Amino acid sequence: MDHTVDEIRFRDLFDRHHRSVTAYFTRRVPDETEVLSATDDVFLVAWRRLDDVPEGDGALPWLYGVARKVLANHRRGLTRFTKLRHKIEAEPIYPVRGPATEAILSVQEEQMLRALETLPWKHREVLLLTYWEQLPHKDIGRILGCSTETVHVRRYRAVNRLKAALGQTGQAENPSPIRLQRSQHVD
Amino acid sequence: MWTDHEIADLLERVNPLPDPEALPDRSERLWTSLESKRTDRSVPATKPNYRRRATLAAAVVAVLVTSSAVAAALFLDPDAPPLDREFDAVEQPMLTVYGSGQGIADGCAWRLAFASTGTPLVGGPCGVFELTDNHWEMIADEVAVGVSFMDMTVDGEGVIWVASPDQPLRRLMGDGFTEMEIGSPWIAAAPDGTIWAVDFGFANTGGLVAYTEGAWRTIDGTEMVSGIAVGSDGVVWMNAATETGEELARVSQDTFEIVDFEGPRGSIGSLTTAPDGAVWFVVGTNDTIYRLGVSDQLSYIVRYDGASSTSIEVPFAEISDLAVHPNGTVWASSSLHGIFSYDGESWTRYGVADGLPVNEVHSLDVAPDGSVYATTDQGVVRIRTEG
Repeated sequence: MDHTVDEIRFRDLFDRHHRSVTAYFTRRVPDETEVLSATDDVFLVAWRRLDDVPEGDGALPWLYGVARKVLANHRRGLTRFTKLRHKIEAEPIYPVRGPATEAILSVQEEQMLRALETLPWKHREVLLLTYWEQLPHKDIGRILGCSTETVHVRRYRAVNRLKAALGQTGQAENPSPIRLQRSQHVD
Repeated sequence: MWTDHEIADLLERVNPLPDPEALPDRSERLWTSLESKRTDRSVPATKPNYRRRATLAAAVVAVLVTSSAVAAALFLDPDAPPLDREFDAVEQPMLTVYGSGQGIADGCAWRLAFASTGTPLVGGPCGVFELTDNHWEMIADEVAVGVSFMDMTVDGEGVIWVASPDQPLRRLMGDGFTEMEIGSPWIAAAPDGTIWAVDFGFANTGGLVAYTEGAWRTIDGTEMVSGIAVGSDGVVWMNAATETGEELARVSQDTFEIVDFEGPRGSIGSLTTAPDGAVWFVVGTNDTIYRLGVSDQLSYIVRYDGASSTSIEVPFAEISDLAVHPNGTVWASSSLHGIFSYDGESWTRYGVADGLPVNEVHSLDVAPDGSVYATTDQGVVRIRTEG
């Protein structure tokens, strides 16, 4: 009886949110195999801790919170790769775009991606959760384990840093275009 | 120079996947993979998860046995999420609700302040309203408060200040307003007339700022502070984000310091000061990612008097604001469960069944006459208290 209740609830949780969780990783991880593996990990945690998963609107922020930790583990494994590839300490933004297989960014968009990479992780994640996942500050606070007030502060500090970084990148001469590659889907 | 709007627009444009529906459907593949791993882990050979199964089985039995009582409770209090404990009954719910019939339209009441005469003021995106003869009269309109009202205070001269993270601070003057060069989501007035705010770097380097005699000064070392409260002794209390987490901090005589209080650690918010000078605040513990279940209590209310601290475990979720009555009672609002008071021994809850229009409460404060006022999306609530 209880097993059936768990099964039904878990399947419902998966059906409602697997796209959002997959999208979260697709925006941050370059390879689709890694995306699917990370999504798997999130729902395995959710299954093991089903009693802790909030009902209703609280479920997705909870899953994003797990996804954040899964991503941190994933990135620890990629650290050497990213340092070699980008020759910078900061973790890169992985530009992956949906329907189009390839797109060339405008100069402004390219500057923005470069500027984002200069931000400390805590500041960048607040911006991405705000503007990519479209989450309110209250939910972001739950995901990052900080107060809503701190999210406000981080967001505005991040925007100010972005402005400063954009000012610098905007003065760069003939910046090379960044090509947005869609990740290779594995069938 | 980039504007905030341009930054926001550009951030959205570089979203690699604006619409998750554009992703290829991988649900079957994901589910199949998940099923194999999940089956293996849910039936471990050496360490079965009896606790979760026993808990769930007990919960099913409990639901069956108490279903009629639960149904009755839900009928009485339809908006209330379930709570796992009993609270003291409200014996004399001397409670008044001011809604649209009394001048406060839905969605207009966010923050409270009191004029030097004790007159209650409420602010929000519709403007600022003053309570006169049991009716709220608009004294500043939505143009005056701006697009993103967040906080307000009244200085020693009776001037109302409005704070917003997206626009400069505003002093409301008659039918108009003047703007300062500071942008802050929080604002507080000290007894000596100083206005304290947290500058988000409109024209300065950011951090805690003070306004006296027509000039602003920045307090060194306060770049990552938020959520300020000023005590009767002029000490400014705040949340300070550090590399390792959030800390309680204070500024006294323009000197900033982190306070090492004894008690739970985690996110710090809802700071308020009591008439005895102690600071009270909420600590959301960080030992889990995010739990909303009432059975998993993660919040504490902490009192720190400058030398020692005490902690109270909170039996409800989502504290939105905190206030301390001169008689020592602690009042807390919840964005899920209504209003609570704690007299040092037990909690009393005010919910929809006691007359609240909704259980989602934005803020509360204690008026000079001892009444407790609270704001909701459906008006302002006044609770008359003893003592």
